[in-house]
Amino acid sequence: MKNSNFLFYLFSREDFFKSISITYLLGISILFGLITLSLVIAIYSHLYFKKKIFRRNQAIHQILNEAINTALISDDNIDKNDFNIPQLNFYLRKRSNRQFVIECLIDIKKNLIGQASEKVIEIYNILGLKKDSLKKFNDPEWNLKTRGIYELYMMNQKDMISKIFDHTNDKNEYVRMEAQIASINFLGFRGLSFLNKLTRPIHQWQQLKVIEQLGPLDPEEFDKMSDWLMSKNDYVVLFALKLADIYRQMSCVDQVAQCLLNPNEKIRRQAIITLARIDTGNTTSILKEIYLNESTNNKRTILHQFNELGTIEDTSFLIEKLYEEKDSLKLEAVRAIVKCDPDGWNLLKILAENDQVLTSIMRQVKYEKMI
Amino acid sequence: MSFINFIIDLIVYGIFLYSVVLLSSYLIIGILAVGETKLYMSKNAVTDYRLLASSPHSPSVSILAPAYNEGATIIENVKSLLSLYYTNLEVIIINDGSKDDTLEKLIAAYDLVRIEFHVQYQIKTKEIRGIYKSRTSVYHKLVVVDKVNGGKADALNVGVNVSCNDYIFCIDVDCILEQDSVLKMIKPFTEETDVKVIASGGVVRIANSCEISDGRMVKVNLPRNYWARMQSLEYIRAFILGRMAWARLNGLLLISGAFGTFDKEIVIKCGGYDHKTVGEDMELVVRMRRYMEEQKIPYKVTYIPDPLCWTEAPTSANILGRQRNRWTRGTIETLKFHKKMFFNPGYGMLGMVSYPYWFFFEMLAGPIEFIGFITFLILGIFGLIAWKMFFALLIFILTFGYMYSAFAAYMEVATFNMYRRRTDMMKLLLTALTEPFYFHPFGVWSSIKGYISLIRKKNSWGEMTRQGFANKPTTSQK
Repeated sequence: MKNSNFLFYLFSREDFFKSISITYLLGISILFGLITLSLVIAIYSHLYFKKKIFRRNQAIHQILNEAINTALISDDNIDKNDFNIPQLNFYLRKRSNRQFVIECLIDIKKNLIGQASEKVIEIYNILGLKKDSLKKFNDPEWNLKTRGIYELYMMNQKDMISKIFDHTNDKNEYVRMEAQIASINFLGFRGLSFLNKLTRPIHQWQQLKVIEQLGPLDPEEFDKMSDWLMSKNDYVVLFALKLADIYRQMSCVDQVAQCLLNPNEKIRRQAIITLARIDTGNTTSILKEIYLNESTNNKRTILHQFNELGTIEDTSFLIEKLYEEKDSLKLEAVRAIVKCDPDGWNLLKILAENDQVLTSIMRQVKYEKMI
Repeated sequence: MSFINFIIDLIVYGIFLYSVVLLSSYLIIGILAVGETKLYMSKNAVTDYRLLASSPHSPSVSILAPAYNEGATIIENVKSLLSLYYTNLEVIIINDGSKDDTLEKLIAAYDLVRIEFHVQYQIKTKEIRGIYKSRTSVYHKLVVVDKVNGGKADALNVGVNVSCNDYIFCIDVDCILEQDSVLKMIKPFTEETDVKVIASGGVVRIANSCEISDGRMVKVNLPRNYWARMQSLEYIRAFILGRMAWARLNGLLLISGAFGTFDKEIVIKCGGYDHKTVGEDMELVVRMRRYMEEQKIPYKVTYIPDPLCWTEAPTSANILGRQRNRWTRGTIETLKFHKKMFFNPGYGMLGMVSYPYWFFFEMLAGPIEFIGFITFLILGIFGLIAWKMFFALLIFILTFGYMYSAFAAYMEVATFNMYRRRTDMMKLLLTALTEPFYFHPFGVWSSIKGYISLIRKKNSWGEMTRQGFANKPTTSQK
């Protein structure tokens, strides 16, 4: 077959060309063209409306700011008439504008405390914005429900406590998270009671949020701490260990020690930290016992605790660890030896002869002690 | 005749099937990207990132920023990194044997002093000459490592060895980062439950023609330069649509080397960055995923669509060509290293979808288009083209391409809306019109040159001359 014939044959296959007729292709192309045109129109409409909304929001913001500033400066209670502003009322007819006002109030409240913060909540109630938040809260869509919960607790709507609390073990992660934060927001430390029945995960981000929420509050008795530490939910155990660490729950030392036997490595690591923090005198001997069977990360965590808790009696244990394979363990051991044994440096100098790694680690530790 | 018939059928129907699958995958990507973006927006509607910034309980992060001959801009770049919102942070600048005064400038500007530090060589690297920290407490987060030149991958591995924290945040030192970028990038790791988050990627946007002051993005503008503007559109398509869709499928194979966060423990277990490839960023992600699959540990690679990182794009065909050449080589090398996974059901989504997609539609796209173009030329010379059909197909593919670009532009406006001026969007859309005739063929040619370089065993990065955000020309790679 000559080349030209071959190529002709290749591109004149009737069956192939029949399957995609020119008219059909052009028809689809026109459709694509129309969709492209619609997208271009959508782009410009979006830009136009975004600008319009931005200007309208600016106007609302200005009216609201003036009214709020007046209310905050005044020592008296807020008069409903102060917020009966025709222009604001006009804007509040639209749901999107009401949403913007809610967001503005939340932003303002975040930066206020005490009476000023209460006044912002009063404004929220006067403007009848709770209805909007409730509507969102009652919506089956998770994102709206989440927002509803957020607005209700930010505006301290305490009458909603029990209804929101019902969602603290919700199957939707985000609804559950907001409900848990709301619970803390409304009830303080008592709000942690959601942990009693929590069967779903509470991940690190949520734990951080709860810890931050609890931060400014006066600590209360954790009467259920022991139950949380024995929970079947690993996330609850891990979180309870963190709380026991932060709030030094000495009374739970036995349960914390039990957690050292937990199959979950993360729980064991946190238990090591917590136990060291609430040390009742025999922590180092417990840690020495579990050391051998621990993971490298947890071994490092254990050795790190000897920095604070170690005594001269632990020197021989720590010296053994200088022969561990991982340099990170040797480093922690050297740090601990230097800290807990007054003669530690001299001992290490002898051991470091002909050991370049140990010499290098000692140099680092010496430098750390200098600064 | 029957064998020839078979070959012809194979070519005709093969290319037809290739095109249909490619276009269908674009449609699926578009749909998935919409779903994932909507989900991301809803999930983070009431997120207050500030709590992560100030909390002592937040995960510890090390920023790793390799620097090679960055003397002209290094002080400003480091200043920008030190101002990021995050408490539990260390910023490690790795001076990769710069020939200029990068190290001297850092020492002088940040009052650095050489410290004693025992480096645990968990990953094998070139020699470290010294580690420096500041005497001024304001800069306590800063660590500068001076090492023998070994390339970007080696520099990053040194960073991993020196890092004291649990997560590494790898960036290009000359990128402009948003203040809350660490917060947003680290959040997915804190949301980990039964599925381990091994890496998190972020969007890289083009900073050309933007207003930047004190290492911060002040005003976003569409690049004035044609090549950079075209790359803006390309990045929008890739980051807002492509990667978002792959993230939804948990099939991301690439996290940009300019902006990605990794679980350090997994990085070390996988042996760190591979310095044998110029596509070390993609190779690491693929290797980490492969490791997790082989260990049968449930995992995911997440992706943050917020525009958090801004980089300067090449503004000339010459430099852009070198970059694309390198990208092609990196892709081929990575896929070659991990060929075991190709259509291997043992690797799940990774082996059955992600890898084959990259193989057929990223690695082979250039050669297939090139062969198509050559065939077209030959047929033209021999007068064998059915012109009606040709134009019908051409219009079809052009309108599809424009539709896809317009959709990407719409997604940009509807989500993060960085180009707010109507004229900017008009310019972007008009630029898209030229793409099939100028930018795209250029990309195909660069890809072919990548293949040629690989065959010739050229493994350099290619010089990347940059203007610099302070309008000072710098040279940023070896």
